[in-house]
Amino acid sequence: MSTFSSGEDPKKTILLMGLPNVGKSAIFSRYTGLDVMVSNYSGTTVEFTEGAMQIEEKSYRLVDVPGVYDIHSPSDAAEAVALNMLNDNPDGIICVLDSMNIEASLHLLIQVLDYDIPTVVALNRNDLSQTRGLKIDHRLIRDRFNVPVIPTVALGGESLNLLKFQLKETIEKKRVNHRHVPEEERWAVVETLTKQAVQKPVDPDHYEGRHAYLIKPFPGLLIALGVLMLMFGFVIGFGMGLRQFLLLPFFRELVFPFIVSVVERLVPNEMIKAMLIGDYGFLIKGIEWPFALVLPYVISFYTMMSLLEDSGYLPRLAVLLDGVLKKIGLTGSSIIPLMLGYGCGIPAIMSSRSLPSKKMRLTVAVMVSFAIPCVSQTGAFIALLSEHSMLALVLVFLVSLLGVATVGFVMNKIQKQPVPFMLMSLPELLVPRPKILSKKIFLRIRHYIKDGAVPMIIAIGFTAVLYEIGVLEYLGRALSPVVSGWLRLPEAAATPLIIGVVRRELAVLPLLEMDLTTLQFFTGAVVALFYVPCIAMIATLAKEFNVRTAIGVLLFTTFTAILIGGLLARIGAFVQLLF
Amino acid sequence: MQTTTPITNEDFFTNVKAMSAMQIGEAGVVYDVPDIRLLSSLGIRVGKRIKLITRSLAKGSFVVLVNQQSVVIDTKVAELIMIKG
Repeated sequence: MSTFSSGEDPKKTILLMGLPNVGKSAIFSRYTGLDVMVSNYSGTTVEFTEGAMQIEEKSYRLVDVPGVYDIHSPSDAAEAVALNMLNDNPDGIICVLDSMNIEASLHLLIQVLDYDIPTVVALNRNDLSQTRGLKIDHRLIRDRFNVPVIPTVALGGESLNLLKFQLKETIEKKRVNHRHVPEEERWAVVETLTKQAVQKPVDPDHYEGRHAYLIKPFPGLLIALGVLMLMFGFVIGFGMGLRQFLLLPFFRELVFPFIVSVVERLVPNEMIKAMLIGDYGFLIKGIEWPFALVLPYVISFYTMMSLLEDSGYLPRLAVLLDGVLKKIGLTGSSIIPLMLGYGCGIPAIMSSRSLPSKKMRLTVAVMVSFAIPCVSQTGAFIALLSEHSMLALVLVFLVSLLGVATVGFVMNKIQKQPVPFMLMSLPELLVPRPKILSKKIFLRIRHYIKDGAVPMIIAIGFTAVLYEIGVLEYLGRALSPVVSGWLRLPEAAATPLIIGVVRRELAVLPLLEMDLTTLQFFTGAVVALFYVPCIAMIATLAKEFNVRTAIGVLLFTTFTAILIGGLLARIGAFVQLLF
Repeated sequence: MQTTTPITNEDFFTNVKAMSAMQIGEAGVVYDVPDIRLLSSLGIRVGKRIKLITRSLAKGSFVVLVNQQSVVIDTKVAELIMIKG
């Protein structure tokens, strides 16, 4: 792989390297201002990011290399990426050391210095380590390896300018004279140096069990339950509030009357008028659904998710659930992609790349595709059910959890491979920085508008046309044995099944406009839950796995959704008879 | 492997046991580790003092404190790490 041979680009390439969760991404985003996510759970940056960095009048190419512990450990995908980049002759390296984990950091530094590439060292998070009495003398590190060392606090941006100018100077000097350490002596050298460099050693038992209550089954699981319920409550409560009190009144009382009056005046043709402001009116539903109905939940979900990510709580949740998830062939770390799935399935499937085995990746991807509603669909469920029956809404989410567990169980039975093991260091708990947090939330909302709302608007436009020229009615009649006969829904409910292929929430939203019983609403919601995820997710599955997997998921979700929907319609009717 | 001294039978019957056999709250010194490079970087090296903080429910991973850091160790690996009490 030749990452850096982009012919015409004469820019010098700088690698930003270090352990996972050390603050590389924070340094990267300060130097480049480019769109990167800063998170402190393992695995967010397995795909590397690059951007332009300006030092005085010169521009450099800065590459955010995935965090690694050991460059020469062959098994891990992230480490393979790092090794490839080092072998591609970069012009310089910023090696970020973690003051909180100085031994592993120094070991990595020794490996990096072997390559004889101009290197500067950032001794990061010196603020955190000082509060713990672990003051580290950077001069000792500098003298031992003959490499410039600058103490930094990346999240606060301290000393980062100094680091930049030191880098420029080092690159321009070109000659490096690092001191190397033979392989077998490395850990001994690291331990000796650490003893010397730590100026105020502390009693090893002093910080024992810091926040340990979060990972002990008791009270950890109770706290986790509380955190998740709080998250759920906030996502729904805040989202509903935004929708009811701000966005709906704004659109319904100000925007829509205006649009309607303009269309009434300017468009004489009845059919075109109906396409614009009728039942599936492009100018009404095309604005209301993506912006008044789904957007509030996108905002509330990603606010909560970003907070959880940046606080360092997610790896702790992974530890708590490890034993339980092992029962279905996953490790605790799979909880992170699964939770992301409640936002959007695509980043969830992408982030499953960091999972240690193909079996786990596939299991997580299929769980997300089958039974985890994305935030858009959740918004649609709430809009559909909350006014008729809160019980039905809660039941839909219970059915979802049951579905996730069943899929996990079945996938574990189908794939025979053993569960890989989990080894990781728990990152420190941090109070998220408002600036970084708000940037992250903003980027995610922007991403929703670009990749979520726009396709939704286009799909609504097509629906409006198909509806008004009668195609949907025709298809509804053709599908009537399934929709009316088996699912016991009106013929018109074929529409969500047809357009639901495009996006998940579109399998729900058309039901809003229909006059249905609570049981029918519930059946419709469950069908939508298990139905085809969305075109973009099917494409992602094909790209990340293969076309066979994508087609398998497509067929199986459709079949399961209709099977379960029909069964629930009958069970529900039976239960209603009893009461 | 970073074993410094061979494990004798006597050690085994007196005070060396697998990490997976430790009690929560128990501390010890790493005596032998399996050949997994990542363990060294996580601080699990021969001679390191560790303390078992907790274990995930339903026979899940172990969490130990080493170098003031919490490290998650899978059950399968914990069975292979020997600790001297």
